[in-house]
Amino acid sequence: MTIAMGWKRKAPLLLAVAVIVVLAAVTAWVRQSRIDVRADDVQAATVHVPVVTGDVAESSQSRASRRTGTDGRASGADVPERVKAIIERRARLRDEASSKAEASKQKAVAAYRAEKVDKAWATQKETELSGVATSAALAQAKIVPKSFDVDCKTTVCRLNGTFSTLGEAEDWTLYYMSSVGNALPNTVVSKTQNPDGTTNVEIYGRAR
Amino acid sequence: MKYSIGLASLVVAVASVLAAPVQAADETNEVGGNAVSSCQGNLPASETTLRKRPLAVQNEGTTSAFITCSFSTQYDSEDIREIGGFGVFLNNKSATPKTVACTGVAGFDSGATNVFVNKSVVIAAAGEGEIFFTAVDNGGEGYYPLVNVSCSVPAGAGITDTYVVFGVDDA
Repeated sequence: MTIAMGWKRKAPLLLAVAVIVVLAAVTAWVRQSRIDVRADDVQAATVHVPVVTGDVAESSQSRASRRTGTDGRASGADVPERVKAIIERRARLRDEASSKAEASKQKAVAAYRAEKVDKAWATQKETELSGVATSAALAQAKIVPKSFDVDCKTTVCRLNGTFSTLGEAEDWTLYYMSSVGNALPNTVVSKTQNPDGTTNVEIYGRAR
Repeated sequence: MKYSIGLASLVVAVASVLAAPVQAADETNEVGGNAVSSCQGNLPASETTLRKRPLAVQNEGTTSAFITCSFSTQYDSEDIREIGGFGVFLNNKSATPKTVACTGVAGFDSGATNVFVNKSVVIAAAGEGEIFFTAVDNGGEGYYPLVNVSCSVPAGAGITDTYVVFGVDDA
């Protein structure tokens, strides 16, 4: 009777201890699994890196082996699959990015075409945006557009330039965008190569 | 008896809290670094004026220099998470205020059309500033996993450190 009452009193505490033991075991198992996965990922990602000789390479390998319990070669088997996944993912992302940029362009073109002209603002903004193109910062790049014009409406402006080569167009676009700042916060830039070898750069931007 | 049950409940509650961090969760992560790790001059002329020191890439010339910084982030194997923001911290070691302008561009070289977001900031003499691009600057949308900043940095100014913020799956 006394023994039974003792067990009855201790039962909740024993149950709690049992629960803790189970939780601790599960926690340790899950954490160890995550550590192993990370170590495998590191090995998979670095399996084709040229071998470094000396103490550094040796200590890195021994550290990895301690964490994974492998010699570091087995986990390299999934590298070709990883590379394939990167190629497929990049193609998908590139297409998505291209579609998004094109949609942004169509939106900007529609806004530009729909807007009426606020003459006072447009004249001042066109002068400001043209001034960026002739700034000292851009002058050091030594790229002079064959033609360049700016046309603003009420909030949206269209900038259009023609360059001798695609490389000049790429450079000029980057330098102009790096310089224009708050004067033209959101822009969509399109490049088109012409049959005569020149490249046209068309920029639509919200300037207000 | 009541004491034992109360103690047992408390122990179980504490143990549950301790076990909680192993559960899967999405979280926001960030990668930062000093500019020298991710930034370089665009023009050959910049090589003679830019000083690439551990704590800053500094324009010590007499004219503006163009500097591009590219950000490394993290992919999940399949699930692509957009970048919420990225940017640079700037300094001005000259005795006059300087305007630094930057453009943010995401995506791939093969694109004929790209979105550029642009900002500028005036930095007081011997002061500091920053330019960050967030989803607010991109019509409420995050950026794709490859993001870059290019800046026109006036003489006396520099880029000190860079940061990118992105989602990760903590499963």
